[in-house]
Amino acid sequence: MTWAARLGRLPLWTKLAAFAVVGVVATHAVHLVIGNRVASRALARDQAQLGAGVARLLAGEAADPILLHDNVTLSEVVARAAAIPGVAYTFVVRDGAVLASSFPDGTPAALLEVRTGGESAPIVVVDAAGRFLDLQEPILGGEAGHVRLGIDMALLQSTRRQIALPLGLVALSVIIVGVIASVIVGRSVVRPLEDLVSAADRFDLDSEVAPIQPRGGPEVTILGERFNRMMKRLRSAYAEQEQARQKAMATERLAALGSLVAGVAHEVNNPLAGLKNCVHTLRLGDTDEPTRAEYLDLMDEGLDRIRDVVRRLLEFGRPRPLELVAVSPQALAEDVRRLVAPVLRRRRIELDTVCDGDAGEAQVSADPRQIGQALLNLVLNAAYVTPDGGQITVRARRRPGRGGIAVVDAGPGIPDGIRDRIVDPFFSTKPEGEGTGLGLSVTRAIVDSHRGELEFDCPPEGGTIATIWLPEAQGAARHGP
Amino acid sequence: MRVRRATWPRSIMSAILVATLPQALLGCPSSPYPEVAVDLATSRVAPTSPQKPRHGVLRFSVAGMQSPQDTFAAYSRFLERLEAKLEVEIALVQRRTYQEVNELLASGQLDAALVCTGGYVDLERRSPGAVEVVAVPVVHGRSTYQSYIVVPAASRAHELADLRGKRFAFTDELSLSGFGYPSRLLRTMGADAATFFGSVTFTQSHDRSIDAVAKGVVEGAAVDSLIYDDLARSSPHIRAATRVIHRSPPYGVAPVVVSTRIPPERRAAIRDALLHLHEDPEARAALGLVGFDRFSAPEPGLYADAAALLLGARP
Repeated sequence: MTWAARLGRLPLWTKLAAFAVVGVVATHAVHLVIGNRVASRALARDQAQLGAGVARLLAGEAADPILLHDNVTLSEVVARAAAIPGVAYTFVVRDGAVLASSFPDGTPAALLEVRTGGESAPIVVVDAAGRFLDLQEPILGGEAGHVRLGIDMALLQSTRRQIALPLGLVALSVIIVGVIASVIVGRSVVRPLEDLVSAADRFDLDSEVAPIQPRGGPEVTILGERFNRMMKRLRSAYAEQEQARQKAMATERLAALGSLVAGVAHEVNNPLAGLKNCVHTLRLGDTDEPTRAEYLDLMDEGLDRIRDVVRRLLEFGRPRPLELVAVSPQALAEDVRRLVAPVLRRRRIELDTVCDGDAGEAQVSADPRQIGQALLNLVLNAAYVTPDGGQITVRARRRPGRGGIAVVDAGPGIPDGIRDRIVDPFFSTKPEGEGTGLGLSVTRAIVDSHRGELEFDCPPEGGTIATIWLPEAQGAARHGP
Repeated sequence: MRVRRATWPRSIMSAILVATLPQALLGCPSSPYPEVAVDLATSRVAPTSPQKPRHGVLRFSVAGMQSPQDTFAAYSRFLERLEAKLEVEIALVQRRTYQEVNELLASGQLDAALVCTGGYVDLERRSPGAVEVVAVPVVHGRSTYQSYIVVPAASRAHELADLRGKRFAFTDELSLSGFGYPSRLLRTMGADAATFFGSVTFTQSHDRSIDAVAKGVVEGAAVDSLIYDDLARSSPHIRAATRVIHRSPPYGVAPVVVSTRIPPERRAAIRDALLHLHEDPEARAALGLVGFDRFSAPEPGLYADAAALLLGARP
């Protein structure tokens, strides 16, 4: 991970504090460097001024001894000046000759040669022995020679060190205060953001969240107000959306109810018409006993049909609680074969059960009674479209995480135009009176309750493969709604 | 309207900052003065006497009537003009006392000098014929001067007798105006210079004596009238702070003498140069700086009164 990436992952307050700390430290470092140099220059100027004062005094005192050729007094004057603390050397030069000097073994000519003219500007003489601020002062305007004075700049260094210590301590104190202030400021800047994050985490569309009370400057207050306003708008939009969804669901429910009612009315109406007709005929009283018995049978059949419609309707609308157990798809297929095979045999339709690959080892989680009903619906549908003497196959299938029971018929398949509607309640392709249109709807409801899938395939060679995919059982059998 | 602001890439900004900041910091040197590297340990020793020998130089001294620095400042231009006139280099030789100048003249270590009147009289007494007076200065049309007794302006003294027991400043033991005359005056009063005053100081120059009175360091001093008048004219402080309570009779002014060891023709040349110096405008200005109008030939008997005073005063 690069340092930039590492930096990017640091908390914001840490970055703010670190940035402020770097700023404080860098500012003080620059301040110290510049301050030190400015102080050094000021000290050097100050020292030069003091030195020039000493040199002027010396030039004044040296004038008379020079004019009077009094070398003894001149030497005494020079020696007195050299004894002043900080003065490294001093000598008097006239016409290239040193008249008096503080150098016991003679004045180095190199020192004379650093000044070729009568200029009095200070220069810094750098020697292996040290650094000297060299000053020159003319005596009687230079006509009586010049005084040369060297000030040991080690004194300056010492003064600088004396100044640097308290300055450094002050800088260190400021840096420490700056670091603490940076951390406090960083935390205080980030705290409102953390409040916002916390409020965002607590935000729930279904319950009221107290508006945040931003702490900080006006910008933070504005940000908090905007955030509160945004939460309010979000809640309002969600409420509107939920209301619209409820409306849409109600509309859908009404539409489904309408469709249901229409189907029920249609399914019930025919037997009712027969019943009405039977009752009317029986009320006339001119029917013989066999006819009455026939009419009563018809009425009983009509009432059975109405009861059957109502029962299926109840099953559609109010599925029973599931009793899930681990069962193999193959066993489910065998169960339905045993139940239906005798009925189909009358139409010479053969019902086979086969097992794909390792599907026999699969265990699915299912309520055998309900899945049995669902499979029965599929087999009856298959039988309806299978011609007499045809074949229906019930296959146990398997795919990752799922076991399936497929009902394969050799019928005409499902036309493209109705594939999306075949599981709708009361949708039926059977002639009127032969089906309720609820079989596949109930089948899908049962499969959905098992968290399974109902799949219809129409292979190009014809027929339909209707498969119920159920989740594989996890461990022991379990029971659920 | 949205205005797009031109921005420098951050890397370039950083590079410029990194490149310029150290220079900006280090470009400010810790010393404001230029540095010169030298090796003092291995350097040869500088000479202690002038490298070129001076031959044919006219050694000229001015007796310390003024302080050495004032004398140097005042007489440098005068000697420059005289150099030009004589076409010879002149070295100004100064000594602290009149006696030292007299000794140099007597021993031949000086060629010429402007000596004070008292010094000349003493030199003539000790080494007769050692020097010849070639010219005398003319100041305000006269070749004479006086001795003044000067006191602080606030002093109650009105005559020399009032200064009994006070602090007094003489100039030089050989000075007529600064010592000889007041000593003689005291003697006529029956007093002695050594005991009359409370304390006595020899300042070696008239201007220092005048300054000492003005500052109240001493309560009286005997000084050269020419120097006092000149200072009183140029310095309001001296004028306000001092007062003259006694003036001596006039005496011959300090002469220019030339050693008789110098050949006569050269002495004549010096005399001639001095007597005609004022004819050169630049030299006239230089003469003005030392307070002289011009030089004139000495009148016979000009120093007789001085000699009578001083020699009569000495044992």
